[in-house]
Amino acid sequence: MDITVKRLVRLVKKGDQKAFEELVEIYKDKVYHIVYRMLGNVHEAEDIAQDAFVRAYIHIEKYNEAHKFSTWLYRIATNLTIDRIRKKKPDYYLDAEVSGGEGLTLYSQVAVAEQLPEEKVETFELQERIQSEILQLPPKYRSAIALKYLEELSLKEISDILQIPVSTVKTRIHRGREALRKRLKDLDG
Amino acid sequence: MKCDKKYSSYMHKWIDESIEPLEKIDLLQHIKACSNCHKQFEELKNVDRMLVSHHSIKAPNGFTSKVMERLPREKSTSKLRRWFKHHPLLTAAVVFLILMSGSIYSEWGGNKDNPISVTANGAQVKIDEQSKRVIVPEGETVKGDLVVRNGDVEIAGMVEGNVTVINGKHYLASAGHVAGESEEIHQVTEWVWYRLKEGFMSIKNWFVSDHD
Repeated sequence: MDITVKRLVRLVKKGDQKAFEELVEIYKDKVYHIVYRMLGNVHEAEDIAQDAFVRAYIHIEKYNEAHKFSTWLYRIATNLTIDRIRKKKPDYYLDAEVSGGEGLTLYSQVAVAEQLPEEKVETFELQERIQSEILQLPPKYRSAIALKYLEELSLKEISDILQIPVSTVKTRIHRGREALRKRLKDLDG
Repeated sequence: MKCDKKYSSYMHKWIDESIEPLEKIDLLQHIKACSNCHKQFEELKNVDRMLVSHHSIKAPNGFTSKVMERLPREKSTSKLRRWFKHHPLLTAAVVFLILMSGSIYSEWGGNKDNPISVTANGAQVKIDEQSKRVIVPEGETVKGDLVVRNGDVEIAGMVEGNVTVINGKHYLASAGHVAGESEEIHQVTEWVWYRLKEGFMSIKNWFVSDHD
């Protein structure tokens, strides 16, 4: 896997777009996952995730092969996402606005939910709930939580991606999780 | 009662699997005694479980192609280079055809001004330069193939092998006879095909004579 990625990156550096397409295939779900987790909006998430790949392609020369390609790629994605969050109105993630926006998405989801078995509806609603609670967290906690629960990323990798010390990563994950615990008290898994 | 803050930190370390054994024992003993912390720990593990199970996020359909559309256009040279790299056999074939077509085309000539050439296996044939015609006279026998290039052929005698007319026509007089096949070649493509067959046959002959 890692050897494949290294080979593909070298081809991309030589200007091979086909090789880049394979890299997109490998990482698209993960990049989208990080961005969606932090933004909570499908359209924006797709836009930013695409942007992350386009930038990775344009700046591929700057990627240092001594580090993991995924670390570099995820860093681009998280930085773009944080920029997007900052550019929005500062009160974007206040309850009032989010619940207003949610009403819309909930409507569109009712149709889907009706076709699913009861059990799935419950998980679906639970996931929606968790996602909306994540969006209440400050962006720096969101990114730490999104990366922590993305896949088997080590704390060291998360610290490389966010370019902050490991101890800070730990604090952010703990604080983020603690905030989620308080908000999700009423649920039992 | 307000508990020591360290217990909350231990809980997170437990979840992250970075807790020290002594801290673990300390925490376990504490939550046995403190129902508040016990509840908090359960809630925290619950949150962790929910976050872990939240794994179904996938990029939307068509994501990759949308990204590819947004990329700056690839330099055409690198596209070409990649094509050649990925198709070494086809590349060799293309190079071969370019070189071959040059020599075949110049050989073919394509006009009637080129001199008539005849391969008749030593038989006495008449060449009429005026009408650009090769004549196998009555009573004459070509003991093998007859190949005429850049001229017509008129056969009044016998040909024991094949007759091939390149860039010309073939007339058979009523008394004439061809034992083998006869063909006329008018197009470059046919000419190429003929050359290939010829080449193949000579390779075959070479193998056969090798075995003898």
